[in-house]
Amino acid sequence: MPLYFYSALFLISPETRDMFPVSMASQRDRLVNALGRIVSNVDRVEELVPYLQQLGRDHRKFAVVAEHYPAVGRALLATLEHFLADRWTPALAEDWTKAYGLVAQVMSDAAADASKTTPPWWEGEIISHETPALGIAVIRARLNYQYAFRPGQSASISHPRRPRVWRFYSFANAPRPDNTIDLHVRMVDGGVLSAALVMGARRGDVLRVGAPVGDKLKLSPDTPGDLLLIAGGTGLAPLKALVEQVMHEGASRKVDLVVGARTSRELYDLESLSKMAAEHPWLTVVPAVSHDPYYRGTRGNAVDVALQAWRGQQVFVCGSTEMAQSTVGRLLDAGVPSEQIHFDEFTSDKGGES
Amino acid sequence: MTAEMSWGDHPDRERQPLTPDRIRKQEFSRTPLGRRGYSEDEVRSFLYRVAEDVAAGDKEKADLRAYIDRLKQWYKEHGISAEPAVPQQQALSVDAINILSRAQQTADVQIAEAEEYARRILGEARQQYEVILAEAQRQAEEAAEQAVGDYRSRGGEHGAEAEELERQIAYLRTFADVTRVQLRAVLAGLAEEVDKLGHLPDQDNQVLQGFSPAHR
Repeated sequence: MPLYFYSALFLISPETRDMFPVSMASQRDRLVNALGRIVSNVDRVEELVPYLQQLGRDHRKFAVVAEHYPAVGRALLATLEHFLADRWTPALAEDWTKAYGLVAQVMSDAAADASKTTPPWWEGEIISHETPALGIAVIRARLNYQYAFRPGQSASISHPRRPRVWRFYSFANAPRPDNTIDLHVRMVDGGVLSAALVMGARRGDVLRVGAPVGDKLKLSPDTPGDLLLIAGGTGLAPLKALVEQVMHEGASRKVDLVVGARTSRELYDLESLSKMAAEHPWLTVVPAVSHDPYYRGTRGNAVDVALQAWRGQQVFVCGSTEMAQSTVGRLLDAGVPSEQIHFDEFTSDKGGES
Repeated sequence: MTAEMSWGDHPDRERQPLTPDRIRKQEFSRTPLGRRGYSEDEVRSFLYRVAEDVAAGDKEKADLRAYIDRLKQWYKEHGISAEPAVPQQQALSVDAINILSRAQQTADVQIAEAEEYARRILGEARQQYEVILAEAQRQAEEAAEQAVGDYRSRGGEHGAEAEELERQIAYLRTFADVTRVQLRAVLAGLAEEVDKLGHLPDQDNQVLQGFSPAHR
């Protein structure tokens, strides 16, 4: 059904084809997901409307404008008509037309509202690109407009080598006056964008950066107490941003940062972390290596190492889905109250966009 | 963004549209004496014919425009909007949709296969890399222990510092030897794989680059 829908859309409005990547396979799932969510929430307006508004705002980065909505509506109706055949009645057609009209209205209104205050995407020129470990890049980019985000947030990123492919990455820094952001990118085997960012990206390339999103790793200045941060791989990025936040807020708390990696070679950012720890007595950085028999430092899973340092702090966890889930499980087992656990899974290269 | 201009917007000011009258009065410069040219009468009579046709065309255009205006007026009087119905509602051809769908599916399958291939190559390369490094580490540790043992049996009396130095030298030497030999073999194997990749854009490039900054 989505296959038919997109073919109809491209025939009705050929210029929309350029908004999508060459391969449409994952796109079709996204459409079905979004439609499913809309249909199943159709009688809960208070949930549906914010979702549609977010969707409408987010679609600005694909260069969707109000003129595209009628074409989408027509393609949707043509698809339904084709698949429902005899069961497609004028009354049904009218209901769908009305429903789609509402959806389109909410989305394009939200987009129009957002366009008064923010650009559809920011452009970030890469000013440094380093690969401190095999398959891991640390990228710094300078954005063209002011960009307000909170430590712990992420944004969808796109690179000119993979036009129209967007993936989420966390910022590894607190906002800076010079409008630069740091990204930690691990190359996923066969990953479309991550490979381009790690291997292909160069200084001077211009990234596209969507609006900042996410509040799972938000650290409110009002939340009292010390912090225990547990990072797995490039999940270090948002936690490093939190460390910078504490630094800017005047270092009123102690921070223990446990950096987990499989082998010592994957501890890609130790140099700058050690430097921070040396400058700031409130910060302790402990690298923990799980699969490296010759490593001379602390060995073991990050969570086990972290639990030894737990004295009632707020705990922040970020890493792969697998790492985050097992870590949170272990923390709960060890008696860390769930309201003190904040975690996010870094989005793998394979999706995370609706 | 293609910035295509319609003919009417053409900025070439000197080219005014031809009217029947301009065609009839068009003058041509003479060819130099002794060169052959077209018969003047034939050219002139042809120009007159062209002018007549253009004039007929212009009249027809004007008639049609008037006709459209009358139609618009009629629609307006009957409360029907004539504008959007015309361009939008060409019926979609199910055949066209199906052909486009099949083409898209074929493209999707090929891309998925190429991605899977890239994923496998990179995964295997990464595994090999891990194995090589682990083995190099193991051999280097052994060599280092050996070196310390030798140093002691030679009766080295310069203390722990010298012992550690001896250790590290042996470690690094062995590590470098093992990795160099092994990585060469991997590169050769990879070059072969990369050739198989053929014309996949970008991928070949990336696989090779993946190995150049290997740990020294």
